[in-house]
Amino acid sequence: MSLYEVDVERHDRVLEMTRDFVKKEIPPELVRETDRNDQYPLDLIKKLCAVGLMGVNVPEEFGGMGGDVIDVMLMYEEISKRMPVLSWAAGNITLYGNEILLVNGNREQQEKYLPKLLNGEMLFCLAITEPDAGSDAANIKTRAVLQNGTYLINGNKMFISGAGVSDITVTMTRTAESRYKGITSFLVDTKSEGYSAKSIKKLGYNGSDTCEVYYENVEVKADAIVGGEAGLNNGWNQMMNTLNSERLALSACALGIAQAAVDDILSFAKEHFKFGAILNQDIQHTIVEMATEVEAARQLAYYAARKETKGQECIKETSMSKYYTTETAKKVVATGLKILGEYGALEAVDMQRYLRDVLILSVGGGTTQIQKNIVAKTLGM
Amino acid sequence: MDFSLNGEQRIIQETIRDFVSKECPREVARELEESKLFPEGLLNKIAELGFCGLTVPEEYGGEGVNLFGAIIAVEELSVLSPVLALAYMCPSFGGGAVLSRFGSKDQKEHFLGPLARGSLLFTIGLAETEAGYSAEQPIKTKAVAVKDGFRINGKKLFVSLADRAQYCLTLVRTEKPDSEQEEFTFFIIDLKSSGIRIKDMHKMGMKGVNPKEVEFKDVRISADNILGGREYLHNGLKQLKDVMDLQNLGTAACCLGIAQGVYDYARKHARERIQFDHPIISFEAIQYMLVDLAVQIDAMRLLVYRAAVCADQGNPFSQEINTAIVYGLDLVRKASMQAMQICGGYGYALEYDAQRYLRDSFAVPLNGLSPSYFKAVLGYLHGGG
Repeated sequence: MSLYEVDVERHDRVLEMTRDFVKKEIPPELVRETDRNDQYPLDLIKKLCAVGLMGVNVPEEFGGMGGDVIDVMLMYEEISKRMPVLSWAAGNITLYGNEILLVNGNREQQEKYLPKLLNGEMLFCLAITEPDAGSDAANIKTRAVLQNGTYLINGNKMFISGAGVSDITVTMTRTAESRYKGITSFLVDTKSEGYSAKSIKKLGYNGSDTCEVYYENVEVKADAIVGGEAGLNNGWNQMMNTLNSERLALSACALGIAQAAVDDILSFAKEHFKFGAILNQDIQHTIVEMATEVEAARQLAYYAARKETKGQECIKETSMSKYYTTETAKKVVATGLKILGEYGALEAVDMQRYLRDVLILSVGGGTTQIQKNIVAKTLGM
Repeated sequence: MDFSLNGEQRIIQETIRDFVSKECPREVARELEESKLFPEGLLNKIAELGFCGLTVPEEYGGEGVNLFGAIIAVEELSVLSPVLALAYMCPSFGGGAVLSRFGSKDQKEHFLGPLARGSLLFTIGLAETEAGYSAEQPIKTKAVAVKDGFRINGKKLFVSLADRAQYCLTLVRTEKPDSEQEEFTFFIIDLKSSGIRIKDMHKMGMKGVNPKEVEFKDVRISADNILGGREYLHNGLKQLKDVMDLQNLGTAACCLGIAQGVYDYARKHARERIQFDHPIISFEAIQYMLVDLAVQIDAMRLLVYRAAVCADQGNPFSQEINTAIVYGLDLVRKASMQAMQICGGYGYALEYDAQRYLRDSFAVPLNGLSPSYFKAVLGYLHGGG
């Protein structure tokens, strides 16, 4: 029985393509180098475009593979096992480009941008968070004001991944006072005058080009509203429409890192903790717990994804998945470091990077606490 | 049973707090870690205040052995600068505490004075493989008896500050004639001896006191440099337990201090960060995370203080200190991960301190041993064989 049930053949193909890509194009030393240099992996993104994987979630009529969110997850998990930051960079095409345009864009925007996203000519990023609007995302203050037929955007955004390298920053702005019905999403050309992005040095996911973004009288036309005129003041609802797939993609990132931690610790233990014929039991059982928890988390994530692909209501399941996979991944990596002891803290050892990377997954894309609030609601509390 | 600090202990606490607030406030601690430099100047100032003498008897130029006082110093330093706390532990715990107890008369006379003045640094060389599950099993470094002493060959990993320290307390194999059993001996090795090569090891945190790899190639050493003197040849394993217990008083206090620092930092953020029109500390999800941490930090403090009191009273304290270190290593890692969650994106950015505490928490030096090692020690004490 397959884990993924629907359209197994394509899922297998995506999985195989990604595994081949990782094996061929991403040697472990390149990953460590990116971590040290904090350079956005643009070369690898272009290569992902070349093999067609960046069209994974785009219908065939636009030149994509016609895949669903399960395909996206399979790809994200495989990439994250080796190079978590590349899955984020891939998000600058698949999530913040393809997904947003396909779900919320109008036909004109889709035709204009999708081909360029797929062939690696363009990158998109998504700017919601602001210094004072994190978990409280509806509190955004960046304003777009209509003046003589064009909108002027002023404000600043925080922790926006890919904002320095992207061509379009999908920017959530306040266009009316209503908390939820006064938000509009614009496709902001990053070459516009008044747009600037300053990169933020951070603990992990080095190479993600995460920035603080400033808008100073940035001019945008009305046709740059995501979805056209119909998108005016509809930004919050639009965002809600893409949350399930974002949560699932981030779940897959967490699963990839957690699985890498299990794989690494297993080979380390086999080499180092073998006194006589068997592994030390403490180590053995601890690793069994790690592997079991990752598998349980994976089942939850793909269960949520199957509901999503079948068009069933699944806010509860995707929120559970986001919370559970990321917290499990944190726990598994911390346990791995405990087994490795001081060795695991060496910069030359990947486990400490897994920790530095994994910790942001339970924050970005809705914190664990916010996911629990959502689940609580769906459970009638 | 009295749970309050006595007059002298309070003075020590106030003095070190005063020192930290004046000489090593948050900005200095941050710059120190970023510079990756050993805090020599600050350590000298700590020594001038007499803190390095807290592990040395008065007759040898110290303040009289007061391990409780010394762990208070480690705790308070760790709150803001774990790196500085570790630097302080080099003379005080790695050197003073160990030699005061186990040094021969000659060794005490020779080393304790400079240790008490903070002008001499000691470190410890134990682990030889990446997996420090057992301290003695994988030891291959060997001292072979020669005409006028011993010749040592081998390699030690995770030797804290081997580039700075003058001496390394090194556990090596020694052969006992007519005995099948393998024996071990602790040597006090001068790291400036010929035949020693020191290589960098870089950890994710505790930058400035990063460990080193130390290679011994035909290093000649006199039998007088056996810890405790010549008669302690082949006594290394017995000493190891006691040396680790003393060392762990400092390490456990460091865990306690870091956890306290993490808590203070996260609490401040939670009180200042406004979301949904309220400081996030007003939401139970955040508030109780902090409360849980405070509860565990309180428990940890009692564990560490109890172990130090036992040690100062001259009672066995192995069970007490190993309990504290097992609890503390878990606590400090958990606390720093919780703080990362509470501080959100701002915890992740390098310009803030949450990530520094996180990196330091996972890089607390253990002489290359794994946290599981101390559990195994406890297992043994609990009758597990």
